[in-house]
Amino acid sequence: MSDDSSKKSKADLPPENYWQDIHNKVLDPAINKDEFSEGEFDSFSVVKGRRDFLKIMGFSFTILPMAACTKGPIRKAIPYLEKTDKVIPGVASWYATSFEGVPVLLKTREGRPIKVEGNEKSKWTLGGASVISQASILSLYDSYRLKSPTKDANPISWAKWQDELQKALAHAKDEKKKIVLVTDEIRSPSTAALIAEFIKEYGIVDHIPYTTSVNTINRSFEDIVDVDYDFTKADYVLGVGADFLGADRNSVHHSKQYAQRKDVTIKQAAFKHVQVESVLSLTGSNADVRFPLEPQEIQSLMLAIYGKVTGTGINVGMSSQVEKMASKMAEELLAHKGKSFVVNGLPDMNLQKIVNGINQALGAFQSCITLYKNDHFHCGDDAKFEELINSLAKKKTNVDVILFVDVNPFYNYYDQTKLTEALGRVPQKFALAFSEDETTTQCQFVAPLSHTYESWNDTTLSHNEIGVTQPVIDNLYDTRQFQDVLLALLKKPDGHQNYMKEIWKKNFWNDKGTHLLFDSFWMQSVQDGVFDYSKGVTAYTPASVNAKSAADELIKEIKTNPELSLVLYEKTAMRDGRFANNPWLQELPDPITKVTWDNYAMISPALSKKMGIATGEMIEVASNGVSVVIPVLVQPGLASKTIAIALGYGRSVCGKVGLNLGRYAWPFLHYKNGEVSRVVSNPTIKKTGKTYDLAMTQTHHSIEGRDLYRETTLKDFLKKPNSGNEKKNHLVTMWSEQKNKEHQWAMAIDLNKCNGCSACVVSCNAENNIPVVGREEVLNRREMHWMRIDRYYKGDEENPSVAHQPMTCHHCENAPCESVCPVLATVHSSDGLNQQVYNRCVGTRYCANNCPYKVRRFNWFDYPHTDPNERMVLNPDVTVRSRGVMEKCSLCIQRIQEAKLTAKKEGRELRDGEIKLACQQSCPSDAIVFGDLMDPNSKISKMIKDQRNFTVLEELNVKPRLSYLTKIRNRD
Amino acid sequence: MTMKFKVLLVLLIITAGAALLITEARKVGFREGYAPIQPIKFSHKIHAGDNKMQCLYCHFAADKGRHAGIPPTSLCMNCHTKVLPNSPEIAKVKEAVSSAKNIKWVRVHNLPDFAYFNHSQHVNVGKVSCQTCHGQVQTMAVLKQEKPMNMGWCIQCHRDNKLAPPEDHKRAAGGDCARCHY
Repeated sequence: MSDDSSKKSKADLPPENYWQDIHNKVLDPAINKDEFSEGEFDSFSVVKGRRDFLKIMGFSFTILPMAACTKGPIRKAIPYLEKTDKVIPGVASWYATSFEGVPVLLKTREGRPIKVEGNEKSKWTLGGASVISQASILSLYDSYRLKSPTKDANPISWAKWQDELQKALAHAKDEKKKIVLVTDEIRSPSTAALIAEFIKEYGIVDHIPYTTSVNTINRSFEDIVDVDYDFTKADYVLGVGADFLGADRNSVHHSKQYAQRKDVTIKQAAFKHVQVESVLSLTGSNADVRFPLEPQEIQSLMLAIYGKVTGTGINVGMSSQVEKMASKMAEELLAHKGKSFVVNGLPDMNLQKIVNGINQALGAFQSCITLYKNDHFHCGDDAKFEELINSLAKKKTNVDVILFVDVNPFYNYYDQTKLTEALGRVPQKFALAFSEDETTTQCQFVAPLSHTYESWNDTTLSHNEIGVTQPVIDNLYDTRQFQDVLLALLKKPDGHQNYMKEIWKKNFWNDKGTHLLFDSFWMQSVQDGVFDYSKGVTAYTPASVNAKSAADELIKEIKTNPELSLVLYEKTAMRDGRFANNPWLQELPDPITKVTWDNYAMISPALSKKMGIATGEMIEVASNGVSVVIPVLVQPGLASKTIAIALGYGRSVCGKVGLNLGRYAWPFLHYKNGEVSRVVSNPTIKKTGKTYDLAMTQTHHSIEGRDLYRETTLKDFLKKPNSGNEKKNHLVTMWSEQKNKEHQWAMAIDLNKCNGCSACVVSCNAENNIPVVGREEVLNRREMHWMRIDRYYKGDEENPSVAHQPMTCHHCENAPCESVCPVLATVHSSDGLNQQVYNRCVGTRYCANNCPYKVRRFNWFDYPHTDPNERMVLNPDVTVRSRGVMEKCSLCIQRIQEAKLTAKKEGRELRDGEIKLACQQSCPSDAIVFGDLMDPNSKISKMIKDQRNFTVLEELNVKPRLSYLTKIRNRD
Repeated sequence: MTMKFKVLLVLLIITAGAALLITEARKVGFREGYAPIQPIKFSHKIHAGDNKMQCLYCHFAADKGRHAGIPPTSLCMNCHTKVLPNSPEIAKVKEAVSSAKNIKWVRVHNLPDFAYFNHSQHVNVGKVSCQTCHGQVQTMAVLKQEKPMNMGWCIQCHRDNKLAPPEDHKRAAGGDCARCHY
């Protein structure tokens, strides 16, 4: 029934337009006619007409019975030789470990790790996991890993290799020449102690932590410090080019806290996040207010804010618009003094010092930002590496031996000519690496490193927590961990585990107090994967943040105002390219651009119009003699005079997956003020006339102005909890009500918490054996991800609002897919799941055509997982689907079944929250909730009743079991 | 012969042929009576029948997890260091343990990959005896698959125990596809 009075209200007006890219912003029917167009069905050109059709059908019918008449395979059953205590066939064991600063639990089946989940015991990450840590499990089984030590690319034994290293080091020591050890950034107490011992033993060792990650803040004070941000204590945060929710080591911690601040069910002060940046980052897309600014504008804005916050009158020439911004931000920062801070993510030391000055003035170092000194933190040091290369190039040092440990400067150092020439002067080059890369090919002696999941280690997570890494599987190949190589050199052949114990006994056990015996402390910590470290930390209070001189230097710099800037950045999944051979990460659509398998030059719509360049055109970007030919992507929200290119692509020595993907952009970087800068002024752009197809997932579905996403502002929400969600549809149905049974499963996603990080997508890949299809097939719109995250824009194309919306099977009560399946391969279960029965499916694909949410995936090919190593990652509880079968999200039915069985065995009811779906478990924002609607007290029941709750395409009345809560933005 | 009769006859032949084909085709892939030759002449009759050993002594995971498990080879030697230590069959077991070249048994009871079955659920929750599905194993000198182990057979048992449609539509157990297929 329609209500006349409400007809003219806001609710009945057409929804505000969301759009996916520039092309469909304007609803031009000529462009948008292709909702169900080409792509998926294109490549079948065998059938030309009726005769061909009959021929193929006839052949198929005759061949089918013959194919079916094979004997069943003879399967062998090989038992264990010895009974192992901990392994019960078919029962998973869990081990705590950590990966790249994220404490995780590893699920192992019959001794092989198959899934990564966040560790809920950690105070730092609170059970979340990142994209990188989720995908790490696939790297473990990478068949392109190095498998044995080599000399001049010929395999030799480890003993021989160690011997060669020992000899080389002894030679250097005798000749009083230098030894250089280049490692990644080090945060491990035991490894740091070991390196110190190594340096003591050989005396002339130069240890250079070499990293590509931005750590400007760590070196912006008088001492090197570590820094923790606390978003729970802040009401106002200003992000300056900082992607703290995305490509950041602590993204999980930040996301957890960020989501906590966005939880409107908790009574708390309003939280506002303002972001200024040149490139639209994942973090920027979540900001309440965001301003795209040129790199120079950011500098002058921060100078102006610094001037206003500290009361030092600083005069920089800037546009009135930036001036106004500065006043407003300074005002807001001061209004929240003690509860506000600025996060900088740009590798610019002067800018960082100004930001420190602002934070100091705001009292942030006493409240929201914890600075601490950490003896075992070896911060990445661009200056030191630069010095080495320069002095080598000028023939000033006599380095005899260089040992690279898990670093790849021959790929990611900006000046390869200089590097090759400089390091060519080092007679003995050794490399320890995980897989063959650009650096190993330059070294005479190469040895394979164990994966993190095959190694012992520890790592500083935060000022109050240390994470433990324990091996979860024996070395798959003839590999060793770096620490064991050093220990062998120091004549301590007991392995790193024992060394760690020594260090812990000395440094951490006393801090604990609760364990009388060291062994019990050790066992407990290894089992938990984390332990408390708060007592071992020296808090650091910056004496005086000298931002004045930094400000002066910056003012000089700003005077050159470039026409165009090139900004180099890292993508959420690919980062600096070290995981290039991981297909899950390559195929993960970028959270913002939704492009897979590639990098590209992003330009703003304004620049696109000005220069007449559209998405897909190849351009040549050049600066200082470096040039790259790269496809263009017109990206809304980019600063108008900025071009952005992602680093981490263009690997020239890598496994099969990552080889030569995208374009090599590292040479654009340059060294400035002790940092490798990522901004290039005045690059030139030239059209090449060529085009290139970017494999994007988002353009596969068009939205035709439909009402899919709902949002409101905080002000409106506080007045009216259902604001933005007023629209109710007139519903008609031809279905009878679902009868309620024991359980009724449902899922809800809080759009206010979801930041689009895509950890859920990778988690789902791992849990459900989802194949990777490759760039070509993504272009053919045949990607297989069960979960996708739709990204919409709204408003001004130069600075749009961004919306992230996870989409997966909605498990509709009146499922349209079910009514069209001719073979009943998709049917409804008594507990409200839309089941897909693979062995019944004949592949008509009617269901996918009839699905309003476009979440069904068809296996166009067999992905047989024939690689004996890589198939070890498969979850044995989930069928590997074959060609010709439809598949889609099952709501992790295997997890539901497992939890139900545990409850049944223990003779009790299922508890709310006991079942955690793969996506839900890894969500660092706790945005996904799953549970039983029949339990009125369950979290999901409460979320369904929430006034913010809405379903997508409600007007179809398919009654989806997946619903959303409106997004609330804190803006005017 | 009239035209009508001819047509009817042809139709009859086609129908009969199709029926025969379908009945036969439905048996393809099921292995009732499958009793492959094993690498070691192991007799369930002697162990479980004559000597009354508990099934769970060897298949100790049957009440714990998804798989009942083939016993670890060294488990045999718990008894066979004392019992018949000189038998040529035991020699093979000894050899396997000492050389770490494990015995490759031929799997008798096979389920396809797309069917999930959990032993512990049936043993603990359903209280189903081993013999219900595996037959009178304690009488078998050579182990064979006694039951058809196809879907109809599974469902029949669930129906008989009122765990599957049509008898019991109200309980959320047994009858849904995704109880076993996922």
